[in-house]
Amino acid sequence: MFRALFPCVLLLTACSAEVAVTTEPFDQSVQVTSLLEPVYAEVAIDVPNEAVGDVILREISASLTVANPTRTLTLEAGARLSLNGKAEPGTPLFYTNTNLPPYFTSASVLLATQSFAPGERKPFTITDPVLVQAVGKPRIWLIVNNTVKRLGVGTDTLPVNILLEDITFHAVVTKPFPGVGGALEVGGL
Amino acid sequence: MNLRLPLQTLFILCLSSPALAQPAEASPSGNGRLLTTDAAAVIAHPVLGLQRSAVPLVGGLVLDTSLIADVMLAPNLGLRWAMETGPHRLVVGARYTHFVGASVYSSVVEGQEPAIDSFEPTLSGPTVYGAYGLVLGPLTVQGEARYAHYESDYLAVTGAAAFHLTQTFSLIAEAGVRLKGGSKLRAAAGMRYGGEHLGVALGAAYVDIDEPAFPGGGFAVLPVLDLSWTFR
Repeated sequence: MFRALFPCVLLLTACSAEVAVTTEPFDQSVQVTSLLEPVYAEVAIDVPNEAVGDVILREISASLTVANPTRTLTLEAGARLSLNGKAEPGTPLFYTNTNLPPYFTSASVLLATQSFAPGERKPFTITDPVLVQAVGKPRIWLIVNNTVKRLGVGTDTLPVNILLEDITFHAVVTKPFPGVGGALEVGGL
Repeated sequence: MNLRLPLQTLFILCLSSPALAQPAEASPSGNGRLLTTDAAAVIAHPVLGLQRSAVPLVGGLVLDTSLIADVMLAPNLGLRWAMETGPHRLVVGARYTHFVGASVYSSVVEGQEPAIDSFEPTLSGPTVYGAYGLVLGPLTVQGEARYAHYESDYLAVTGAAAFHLTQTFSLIAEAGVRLKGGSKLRAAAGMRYGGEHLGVALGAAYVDIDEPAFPGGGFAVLPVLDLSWTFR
């Protein structure tokens, strides 16, 4: 419906548009199966087409909440931004140090690796300049690393899950439509 | 040999056409548009049309607006001056467009696409254009230059030919280049009916719009439609 309507909206009206997008929040759990061995979860985020292409950046941020649902384990987690990836939206990709993809090394650190105490839930809003790389791209990837660092006294047993909640990407851009002159012509402008 | 018969027919049709017998109507109807460019023609009477509605003032000067753009919440008002001397036609015009529909469009888009918080298009700015045409019996050839400054610049130079099959029907071909504001080549073909009151143009324009925001990444061709009614 929107796709059908969109040309009508834009054909005669837009030579540029100020577009604000916030991708739909989603959750991702990452299973950690062994002690001290990091597990990487790669998730894909699709940016709406209206903010893709040559755009002028006004504002950009990514946000997520990291939750350690265990009662006794200290987890360490961090996040990277990658402009390459193999995960699809809704289908994450998991890997370890033994099978890191080649693009892992070119991913930029968004959130430095840090400890999450048992039961801790911590929201992050990332406005790091690294995010600017993501501007105008149709799809970006977050690679989250997780490690079980310390076992307390309790009943938790491996594997455990670390929860990444409400992952969103927000951007305000000015998108020029320099190539729509043909649409103006048929309207008599 | 097979090709000669239709050509002969066309030739005879042209010779018998009233357009040849009467090279130019003293006070033509219409809204001064071809398909996607201005027609090198005088607008002599008030006209209500999609691509252009106009009210004559004095000395070939008219006040005009693109009704399609007005309806799409981009109200625009222009002044256009045209003259004809023998076979020569000259048109000069300017227009200002002030888009007022940003919040309306934004609310429509937000309602359709959950990831869009706001989408506020802009399209405001001046346009200037000029056209020169030469009437050669049933054939009118013309050139148009048009510059617009919205958020980005638009500049195009277009040549066109209108072949009058009869006094009311003409075949139109346009071709030109966009120096700014789109893909280089522009072209259109179609026909126009221009009666005493009713004017209709139908055709197709090669626009080559490459934009990921559109379904399928853009459009190669857009339909051209213009309807007008001349009050005379």
